[in-house]
Amino acid sequence: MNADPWLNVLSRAVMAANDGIMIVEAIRGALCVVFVNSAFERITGYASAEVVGKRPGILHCNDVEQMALRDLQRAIAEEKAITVVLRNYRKDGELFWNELTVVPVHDDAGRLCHFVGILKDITAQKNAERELMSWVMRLDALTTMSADGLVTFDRAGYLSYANNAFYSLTGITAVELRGIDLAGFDRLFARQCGSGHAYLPVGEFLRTDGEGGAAEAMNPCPTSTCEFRLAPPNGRILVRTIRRDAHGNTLLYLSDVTWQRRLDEMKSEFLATAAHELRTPMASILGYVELLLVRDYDVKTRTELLEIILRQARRSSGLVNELLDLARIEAGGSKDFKIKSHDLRSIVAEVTAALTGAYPQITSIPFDRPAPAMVDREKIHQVLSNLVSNAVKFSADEHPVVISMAIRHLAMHDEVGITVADQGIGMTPEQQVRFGERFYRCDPSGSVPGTGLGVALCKEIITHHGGTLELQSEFGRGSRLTIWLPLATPIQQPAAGLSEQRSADCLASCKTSPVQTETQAKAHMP
Amino acid sequence: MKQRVLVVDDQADIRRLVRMTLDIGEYEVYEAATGEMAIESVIAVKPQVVLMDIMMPGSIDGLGACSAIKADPRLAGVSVVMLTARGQQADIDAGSAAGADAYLVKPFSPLQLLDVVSGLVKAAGRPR
Repeated sequence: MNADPWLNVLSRAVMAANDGIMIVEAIRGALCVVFVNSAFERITGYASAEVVGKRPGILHCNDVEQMALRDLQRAIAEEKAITVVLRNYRKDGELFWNELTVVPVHDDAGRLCHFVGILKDITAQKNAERELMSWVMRLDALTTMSADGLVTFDRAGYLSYANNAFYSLTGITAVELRGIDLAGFDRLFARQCGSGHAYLPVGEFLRTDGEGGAAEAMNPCPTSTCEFRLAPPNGRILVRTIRRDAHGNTLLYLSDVTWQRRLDEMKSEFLATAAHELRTPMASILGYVELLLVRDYDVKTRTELLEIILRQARRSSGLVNELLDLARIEAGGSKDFKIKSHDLRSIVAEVTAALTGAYPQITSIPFDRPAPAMVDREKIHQVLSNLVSNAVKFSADEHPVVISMAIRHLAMHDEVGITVADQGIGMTPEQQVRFGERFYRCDPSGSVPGTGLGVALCKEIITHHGGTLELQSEFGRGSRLTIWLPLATPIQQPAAGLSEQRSADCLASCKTSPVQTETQAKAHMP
Repeated sequence: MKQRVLVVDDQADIRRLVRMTLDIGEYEVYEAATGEMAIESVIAVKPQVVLMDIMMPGSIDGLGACSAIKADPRLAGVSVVMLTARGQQADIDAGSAAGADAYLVKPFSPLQLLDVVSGLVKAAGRPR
């Protein structure tokens, strides 16, 4: 009778427990549920009456292919206690994860009489784990794929992570980084920068940053950025951002800005060169005009000086036009092009006719096949004229300049080519490499007139037509330049987005002489 | 006695402009088209003033030629004026670093050039 009040308390504990409790009778190998608590009912959705008297296997339904289930069955057969995690199913079929502890109960004689099962629904925990894994994998994929370098150090100052990009950007290897601390890392990095370039150690940043408790308190996650260059042969320019998080981890982020810096350099070089090229003819114009105003010269000299002024003014004007053309193409691409189907033979004929009067050494070979291409007629005319006038400039007067055409079949499409061949001074390999570079002139002394922009402009125009400019040259023998453009199929329409309207922008109206006529060509080329 | 002036520029029109500017009886004008020729001419002619363009073809540009002239003790009396289209502060500083006595940016006024040259010639004439 004394046992009764204690049993009462225990039974209250079982009833009130948050975990499901199931008592299974084990008689002669057969398992039969004899009791479940209300938590069991809540977790599984089964009412007590629905499971009492049944086999406990009801919970895992038909999902019998679980390793954990086999472990459980083995433990039961061996009459041992075990904890497993099983996939179980509620009455409504919903899956839940059951952390099940099963404990055998033996009677005084040592015979197995019951099993007690404690069920813990760990579905929420499982879901959180899976979510975390998914985030970790996503993060890992991001940092692995990232082209920027990422390195982290823990609060003790030891390396905790480095991504692939870090190794490929810096040339530091994983082996070198193993077990390294911030000081060691700074030494490695300073070595990569070489003696020529300043490297601000990470340690420096952390020290200066912790300068005032107040500073750190106001900005608990400070960042700092600096830029440095790695020594050759790597030579990259990297921007490093350092960040401390609230847990004391240090994160380093490295991005490669080499190309951006190079581009900025090129832009300011271009501007400086353009300014120089414009100032040079202005020096003649302004200088000679001032002399003519303050001094007396005879008529012959006056005329000579005026001719110089005129020549340099034209050169200036041509340069400005070409600069504007280049700027316009760079800004707008080909959207201002008037693209239509033209037979290139007619453009060749036009250019030849325009120039052959002043330069009888120019001839063109008739082409017997149609050569349609989707082009802006005026632009291709400009390109061809430019290439022909280059050929004339760099050849002796008696050497022929021959324009010919061809069609070639490539894997994906056919192309039509216009070739300008001369027997002039040709180009050395060094000159050929720089051919088409802005402002590059094979003869910069001014004895062969030119701005150095003509070929650059031709290349831009041809590229925007989907074509290529091919150069073959031998120093002392001559050059062959070929414009290759995609051959249009007979029923081809202009691609969507290419405008057929002549755009009324002010740059177009600023140009002084868009199309070369015979007399202007004569004046342009002394 | 005529003062000797050497003008160094790869552009023939500029050399002619300077020649005509200085063609007022008191100057003898010599010309060179590259940095290397400039150095040779300075040694041969010993001009009082050299007017030097910066951008020229060849292995020595105007700054290199200026440095070479200023470094040569035989050429102590030679003044060098940079005469160039490069007008950024960095370029002017480079000119000073090479030892240039004056820096004129193109396009320049011929009258201003005359002033600069005559100023340098007078200064060179005074006892040191």
